[in-house]
Amino acid sequence: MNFMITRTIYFKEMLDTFRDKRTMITMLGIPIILYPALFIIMIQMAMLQESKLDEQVSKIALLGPVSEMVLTELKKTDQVEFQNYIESPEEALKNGDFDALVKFESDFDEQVNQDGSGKITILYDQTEPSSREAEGRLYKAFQGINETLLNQRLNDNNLPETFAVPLKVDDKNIATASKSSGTILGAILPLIMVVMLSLGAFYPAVDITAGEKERGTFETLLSTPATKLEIVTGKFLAVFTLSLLTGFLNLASMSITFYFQLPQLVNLKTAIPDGEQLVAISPISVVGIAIVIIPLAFFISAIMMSVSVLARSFKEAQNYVSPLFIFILLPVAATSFPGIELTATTQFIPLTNIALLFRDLITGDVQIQYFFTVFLCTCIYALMSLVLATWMFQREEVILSEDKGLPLTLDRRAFTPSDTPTAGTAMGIFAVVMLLLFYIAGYVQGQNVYTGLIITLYLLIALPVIVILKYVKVNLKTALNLKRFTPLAAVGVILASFSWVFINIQLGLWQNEVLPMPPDLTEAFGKIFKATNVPLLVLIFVMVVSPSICEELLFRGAITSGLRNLFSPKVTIIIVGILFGLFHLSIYRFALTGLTGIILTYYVVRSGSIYLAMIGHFINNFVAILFEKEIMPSSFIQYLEGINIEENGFPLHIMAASIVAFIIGIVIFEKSLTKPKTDI
Amino acid sequence: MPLIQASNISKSFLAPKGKTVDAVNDVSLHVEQGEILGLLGPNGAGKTTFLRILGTLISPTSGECYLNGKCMAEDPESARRDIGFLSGNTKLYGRLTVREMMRYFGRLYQLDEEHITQRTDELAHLLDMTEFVDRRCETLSTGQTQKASIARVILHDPKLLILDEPTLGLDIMTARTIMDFIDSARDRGHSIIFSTHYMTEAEMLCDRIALMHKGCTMMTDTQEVIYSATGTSNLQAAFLSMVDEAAETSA
Repeated sequence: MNFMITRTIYFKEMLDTFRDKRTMITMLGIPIILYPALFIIMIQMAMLQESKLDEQVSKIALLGPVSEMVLTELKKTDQVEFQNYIESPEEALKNGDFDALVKFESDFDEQVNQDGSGKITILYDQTEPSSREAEGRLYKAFQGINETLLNQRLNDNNLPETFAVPLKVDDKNIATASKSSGTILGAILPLIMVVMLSLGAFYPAVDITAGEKERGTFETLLSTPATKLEIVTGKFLAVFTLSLLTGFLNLASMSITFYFQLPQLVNLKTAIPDGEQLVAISPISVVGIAIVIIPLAFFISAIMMSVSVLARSFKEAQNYVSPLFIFILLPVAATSFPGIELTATTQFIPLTNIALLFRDLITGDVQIQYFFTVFLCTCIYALMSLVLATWMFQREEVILSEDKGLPLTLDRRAFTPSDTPTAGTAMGIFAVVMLLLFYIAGYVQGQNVYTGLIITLYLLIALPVIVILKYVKVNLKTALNLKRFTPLAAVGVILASFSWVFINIQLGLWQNEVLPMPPDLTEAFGKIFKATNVPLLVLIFVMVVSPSICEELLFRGAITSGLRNLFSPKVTIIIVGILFGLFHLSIYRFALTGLTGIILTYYVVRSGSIYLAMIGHFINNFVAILFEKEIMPSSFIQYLEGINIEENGFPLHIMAASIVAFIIGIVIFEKSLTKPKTDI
Repeated sequence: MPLIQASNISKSFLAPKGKTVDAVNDVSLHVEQGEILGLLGPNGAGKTTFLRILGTLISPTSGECYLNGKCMAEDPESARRDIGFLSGNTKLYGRLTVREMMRYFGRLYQLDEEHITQRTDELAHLLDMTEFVDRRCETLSTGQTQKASIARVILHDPKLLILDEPTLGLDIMTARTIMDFIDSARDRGHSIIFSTHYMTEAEMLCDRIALMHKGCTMMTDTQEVIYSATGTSNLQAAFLSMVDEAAETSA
């Protein structure tokens, strides 16, 4: 690689970007103007609100038999005005005619005079600042009255003040001010930083890849002696620099704003929740965050580059990159759930680990080991993303593609009939299904697990696949790989799939040692299978037959045929496997379902028949039910209990037999393929 | 030895369902030093793909190209130093001035700074660009843009010029500038291969013509030989006659 050429491309891209107003506004305008402006507006609003509330007279309605003694005391309170009786009091409160209501119980005076407890209720509207203020004033006044009456009673009975306070509890918050402030900032700052870094990378990444294609300058560049590696490196370094610059500018602007504006905020109770303190981020934390921003910007820039290079225009790239924001922000947003902290596991989760480290850095509570691991991990993820971006750049069909990617219109007339969906459409179907699962599946399965599963499989998975494919005028028979298979292929698949179940169980046991599945989850799975009140045939229909049909239509049908248009068979098999793993929405099941997905996709890519994957899927789930329901010869059950699989795993001879059977199955399957077949 | 020799070049693209489409099918041709070879054919004939292969922008599925006797696939970057590639898709950077753009490409061709400055001034004078050489490319008219593109292509003084439909969509005056440039480039010893839809351009300029249809060359020869082989008197008639003949043969 010639570094002079890379340097030339880098400086040209920087110059080009600095002359692009759109990028400049996102990069410089937002951080420089946004934070100070937001802060100033917030402070001014809070101050205005507070002074208004301080001056405002609270209008209080009194209900029930009003105690004269209490009223006399209450009237001593500043800026409170009372009325005795109104019609529909609660309605009047809702309408804002009053700020609060005080309701006296009918026996109030009697109870107070006889050393009982006179009951008063304050009605107010928590969402209205004036009502909250009125409630605060009343509460304070009642506390004073309460104290006076108590002292009076103690005096009457010659009792010391401590009589009424058998326990004196003091709590002391040992959190430093920076830590207290960090808990608030820690929840917000990582999100803001990741959004800003992404935006900082987004415009340059799109502009110098898809934008360059759209402007027709990419081919000009490719006609020079610069290699693709030099081009991608120069361009990537520019995106990285700009993203990093955005990150630093945001961090600097945020820190400076906090430093100068916070003192004004500290005494404003309307701006800060009770009991919280805010202080500026410490300089050491700022340096720590700045260090971590470097690999983070690298990582995000590479992801943005990889995705935007697939598009042929700025608009198309926006369509690709916008959903990517969700995938980038979700792991960051997840860190705001209570109890999520940097641990031996979370330190490896991309983006989540960075967000948690940011939080720890702000609270000043960071462990150097985690700092190191997260930094290192992010560097590795960043490098992997860069490799992906470089690989994309090496592909001439990506760089010089003139084919349509994702359809930019949803008008059905714009679609031309085709045999398979585009890769973009396939991924669109996957996204739609995932959204339906996210929003609806949880709810329907919560109502009734079996009916819910049926609805999920047929209405939320299979139906969208068919409807979308029909809508974009794709031939269902070819798109879903509905092709006949030979009996010999089925024999191979049955043997391989059956033996794969044993290998998969063993892999699961090994995985459990590294990443133990929480007992709740294991129990939840067991419950579905072991429910005694559900007939076996129903269970087989729900858990075996239906997934084998519906999930296969999505993964080995639409997605496989779509991705085959863009990727080689090998890459398609791996990607579909990964998507199948992700689909199961559990980190504990990802690897195993992913591997099973790879094998099932392999059957289809090689043979062109989805039915073989359905058979494989059927066997996989069917054997799982047999195991869970213990439907097998009693001697075998006794044998299994004897060797205690969960503790020791399968004996070596069973594993060896399974692997041999699996290989034989695959060999038979391969032999069964008649030409033309797809080479891998 | 010809300057460039393409032997049995084929290029297939992946189509849906793992099928392949042959964009270029077993094409062989050569261009001599100081010669203009015209590549004629309808849309989809494979001209652009073939020229992209010659320009080493994409790799052939099979076959080899030699530039000055050296296999281009072995060192495509080095081959590109001797090639100037211009097509409808090789536009200029709008946010750079013509001079900045020339400097950028000069550096990519690893010319020294002094040489870039000198050559830019020389080309600005030659192509009558002095008025707009310091203006951003996005502000230039079509004709000025095309002049700047030509300057970009010959900045490094390439031995071979590959021009893919260089006059497509241009007005008569601008097209004329390009034609004059191609003619004068031959006089300066450059070899040129260019594709066009316009038969008159080819008739006017080309020493030899390659007629392409459905990814194959139907004939590559001088205009006289083509006319006598087809019994026609102009390229359009010759081309149509060969397409009809090919259709009959395949039927």
